[in-house]
Amino acid sequence: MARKTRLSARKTKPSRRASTLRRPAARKTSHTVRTKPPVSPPAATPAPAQAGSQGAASAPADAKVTIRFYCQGIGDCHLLRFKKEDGSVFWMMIDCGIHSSVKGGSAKIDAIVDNVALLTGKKLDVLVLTHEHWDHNSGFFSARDKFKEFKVGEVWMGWTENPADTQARDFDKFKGQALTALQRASQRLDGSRGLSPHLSAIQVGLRQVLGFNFGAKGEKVREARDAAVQLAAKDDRKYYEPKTAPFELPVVPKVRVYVLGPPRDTAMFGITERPSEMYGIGAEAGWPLARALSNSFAMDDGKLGPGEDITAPFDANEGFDLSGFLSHGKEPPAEKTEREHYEHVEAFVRKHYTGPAAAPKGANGQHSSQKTPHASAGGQSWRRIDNDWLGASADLGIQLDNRTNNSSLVLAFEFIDSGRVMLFVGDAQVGNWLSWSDVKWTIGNKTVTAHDLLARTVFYKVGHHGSDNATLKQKGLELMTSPHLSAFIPTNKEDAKKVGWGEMPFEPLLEDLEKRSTNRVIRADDEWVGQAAGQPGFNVPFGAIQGVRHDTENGGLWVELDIG
Amino acid sequence: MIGPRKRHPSKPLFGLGVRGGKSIRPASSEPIKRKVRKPPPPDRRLRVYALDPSIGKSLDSMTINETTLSVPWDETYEKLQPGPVGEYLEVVDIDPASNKVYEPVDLNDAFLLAQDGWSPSEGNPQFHQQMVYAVGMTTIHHFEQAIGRKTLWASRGSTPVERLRIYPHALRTDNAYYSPEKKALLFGYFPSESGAGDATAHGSMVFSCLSSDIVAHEMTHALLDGMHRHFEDASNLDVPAFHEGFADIVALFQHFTMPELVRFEIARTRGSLSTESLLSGLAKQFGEGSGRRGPLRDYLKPDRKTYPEAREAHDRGSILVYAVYDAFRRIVERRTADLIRLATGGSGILAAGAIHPDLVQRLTFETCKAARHVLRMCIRALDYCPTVDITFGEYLRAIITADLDFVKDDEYGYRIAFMESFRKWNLLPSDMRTVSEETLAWNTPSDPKPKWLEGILDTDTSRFDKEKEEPKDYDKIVFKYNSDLTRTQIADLDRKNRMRLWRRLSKAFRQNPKLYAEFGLLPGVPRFKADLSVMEERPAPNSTFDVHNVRLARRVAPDGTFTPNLIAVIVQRRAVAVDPQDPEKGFFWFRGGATLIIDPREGREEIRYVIIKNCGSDKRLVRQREMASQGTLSPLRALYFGGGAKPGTALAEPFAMMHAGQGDPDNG
Repeated sequence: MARKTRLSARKTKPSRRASTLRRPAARKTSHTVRTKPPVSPPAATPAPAQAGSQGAASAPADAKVTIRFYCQGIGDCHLLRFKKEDGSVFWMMIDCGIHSSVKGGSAKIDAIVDNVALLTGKKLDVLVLTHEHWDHNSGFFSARDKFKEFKVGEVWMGWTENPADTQARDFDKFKGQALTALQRASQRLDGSRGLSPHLSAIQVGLRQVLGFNFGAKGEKVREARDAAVQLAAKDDRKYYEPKTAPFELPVVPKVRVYVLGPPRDTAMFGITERPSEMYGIGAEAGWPLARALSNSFAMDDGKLGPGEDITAPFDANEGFDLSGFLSHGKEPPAEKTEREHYEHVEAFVRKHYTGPAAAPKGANGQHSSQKTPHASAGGQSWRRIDNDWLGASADLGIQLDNRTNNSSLVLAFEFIDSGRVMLFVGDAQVGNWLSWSDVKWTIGNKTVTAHDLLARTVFYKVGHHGSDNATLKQKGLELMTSPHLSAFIPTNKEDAKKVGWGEMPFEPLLEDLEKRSTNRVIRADDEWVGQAAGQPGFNVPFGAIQGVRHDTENGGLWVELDIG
Repeated sequence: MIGPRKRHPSKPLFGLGVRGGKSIRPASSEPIKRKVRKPPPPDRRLRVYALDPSIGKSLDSMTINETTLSVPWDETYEKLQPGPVGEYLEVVDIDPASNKVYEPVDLNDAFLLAQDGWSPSEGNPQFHQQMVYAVGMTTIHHFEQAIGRKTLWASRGSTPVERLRIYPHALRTDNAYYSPEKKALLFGYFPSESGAGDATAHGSMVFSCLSSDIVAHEMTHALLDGMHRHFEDASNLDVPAFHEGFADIVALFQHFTMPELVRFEIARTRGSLSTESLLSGLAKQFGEGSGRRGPLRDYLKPDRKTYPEAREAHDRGSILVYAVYDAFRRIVERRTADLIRLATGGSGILAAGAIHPDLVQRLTFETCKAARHVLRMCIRALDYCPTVDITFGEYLRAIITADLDFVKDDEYGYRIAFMESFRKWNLLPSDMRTVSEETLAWNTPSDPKPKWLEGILDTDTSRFDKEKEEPKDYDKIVFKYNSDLTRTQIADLDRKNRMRLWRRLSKAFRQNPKLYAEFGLLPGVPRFKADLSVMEERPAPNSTFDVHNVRLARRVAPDGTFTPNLIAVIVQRRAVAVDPQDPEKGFFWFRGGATLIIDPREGREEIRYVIIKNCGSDKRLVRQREMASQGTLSPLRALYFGGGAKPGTALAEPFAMMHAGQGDPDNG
């Protein structure tokens, strides 16, 4: 029955709900034959649970945890509900944000926070902040008044956010410098007319990178993060790294937490200190690309005097000011030889850069008689390079984005009895994933490696909204061999498309994930999530997944998984 | 024996061996006027860093820090202007990031002429200008020597571009690239991120324009773009990789045109090209400066990636370079084996210690000679490449065919060395059953002497010289071998010849629509606009095609005479959907056509080889579709900067993105 629904859904136009296009439930699948008809989730059948779906629905008795994934699209907010020994609930929230490019984002966040408040009674035992990106913590800023009423036990973060850590402080500072430089580059591109296709592409890309660091109105991600951090008292702010010994949740029986990342890899975060850097030429800290760009802007602003820019290629007395030639307003020097010299260079610049192009000459020095217009007729503007150096901002943007994503706190929750693992990776990129190969812990007299945990993973929160390099293939997904594997992707393809992202989610990754999890992949933009009568495209219960429910009242605000 | 003269000793002896000599007297006693022929302008000698400034920073190699390049005088039509601005290149030293213009160098300044230009200096921008110019002209010279004609830059639309522009200080980053958009080379500079063991001090400025390898590499991109514009379309993984690999080949073999460098390294490595040396590495300072702890690429140390695995353009391209460099090393070994035997009394085992300077000299000579041959083989093969969608295997076929046309007897086994090496690196064409000269050489069409080819060359080269109106249906190709044309005039002649051949072919196609298939073309292909939409339908038997190139190359006939080779390139393009099920995903250009290598001599007109890329090939279409949906950028770069929602649309600055993307994190 459900199979038919899914097939017919393929033909129906995806319905627009809450301004979010959901993807049709039907997907490419190699599993065309089902041995038994899918069973609807048990929790969906009792009417009270459906009606009161804004509140806590009853999970199967043996479910260890219920995770409510909010479906705001490109943004993460997950609410984990563990059972305490005394039968009450232990609430853990992981991130709360939405990308600034999604329209009506803060309204969506408001609805989510209201829902969380209703559910938890405004009490969170733990708040996890994976990393400092707008799509992961915008909510703490836009809904700060709502969050003020919350009681938060502890806030967990990666070591990279720890103000008492020297390396983290450096990283923090460099991130700030990079961001400022990128903002300036973006402004300069915005203020330039007639950008080449190459620079227009960089302009667009830069906006997207900045969209992870700023709200739609320019609010800074730093403010959002700090608002979140301040929800817990100073002593209750915890900073974790892989060398943190695995620990059990205090009042929840038999759940152990492992920290896989962020690694303490100074090169990865660009905070390597080399002896020569301390006393060498140009002893100035920061990422080279950011430094080169921001020094150039500082020269522009007059904040750096001539000769103070150590990223300039030559001594200050080499060359002439380009702006003097471009604006035509500058007076040549008064002294005769100097003036001749100046005028000589000015003439060169006019002839070969700013002025109209010279016509080509024929064999005998005469102007050629050919009738085709010369390529440079009508000026040389197509060959000018006034803004091409800003192309480096693309490299810096990628660097910043990659490094910030790599500072993601990666947590694995192990159910001690069954050995099953849930993996929350934030937006960890390749480097973070690769570092897990070296991570191991001793539990009692046993050694546990990160790869052991991957092999036992029954649930995986897909990183970076399903983009290509946020889920490692060989040393990642291929190690997740549990037959119970399931996954959630906080993404919305239509939103991603609108802002011009190449592939989010990345199709080959999606296909691989669906194959490995036998289609137990839930996406925030799944069509069934948005339909009151929608059904997931997989069997429930199955293995670790004991139940699936979704919001039937607000157009699919959330989807819930019971994991046992 | 002539006896003693009795009378005047200086008087000529009459009748000595001349019949009737007595009666013939010279009409005038004045000597015939002759004068010493004025030699052609000498080469311009310019000093440069042999490789880059890092060489001179180490005591071990300081003696080969600089070299003097001899570049063509470059004043055929006009004096070399300050910049330098010459016939081929214009160096414009503008640095917008630093808000600076550096004074252009005047290489005709008497003091500079007297001392081979400025002496190498990192702190003197005028030397930088001199060096990019000198290295750039050297690369151009290598190309022209190999292909035997003047090189042209890629045109902008249909209008020719006279000079390639060079900006030595355009970027503040560890990047340098050729911009097809601007027809310019942009070089970057950056403070070094080198470590303790490197020759480059941490924090000191690294200039990519002071690396002769980087200049040669970028210059090659520009020259290759001028010959094969469609090699910018990443229609399969090999195409962007070929651009990178070929540029590295030229840069690498340019090392061997500096005998003092080769001599030094041969003495140091005792004649072994397989020992770590400066010769096999590219861009040492740049590599150290960007934190790589060594040269950017070293062609003695094979990368761990194999041909099928390497997808990134530089990784994949370097496999081509490994193959060529391996072949070269084998050739040198063969050429020098006798010298080593002579020097070792037949044992082939050199005694300990330094080798004899004479042996160094001879080894250097042989090595440089082989390098020159290999570089020319590689460049000459460009004329024999398919015009779109090249693969490494097809490049090997081009190398072999071109060499067969040039060198009859392969005494030192160059062709065998190439075949062996390409086989070793797994780069053979996928559709070959056997590997030999005959099977690798391109085929001829079933009818090598078609009717339409007759009388293709107009022997009257001055027919339309005096602005005489050319008839609308004129379809003969005119080459002015004997006139001294400027490059602008050559470009103009090219344009006309392409039009003339187009007329001839479309007439032939109309008469015999079956001919389309022989050139890998399809009938009924509409005319497209630049935005990939249809401008005008052309139902069969009509079609749309472009004569992309008509050029004259020379070859050596088996009897040793020089013979013209006419190379004609015919291309057709179709707009094809990235995803046939979903036109929303956009379209891309799918190109095909033929490269014809023609003997144009009157009465002997013959298509010698034909290289076809079928415009109707489904196999190629599938491959290109895959490329269009995947692209060649690193994942993160593709996500933000890859042109976004429109897969298949070309990158605006392919080389800028690719070169910068080398350091990006990629997917494991």
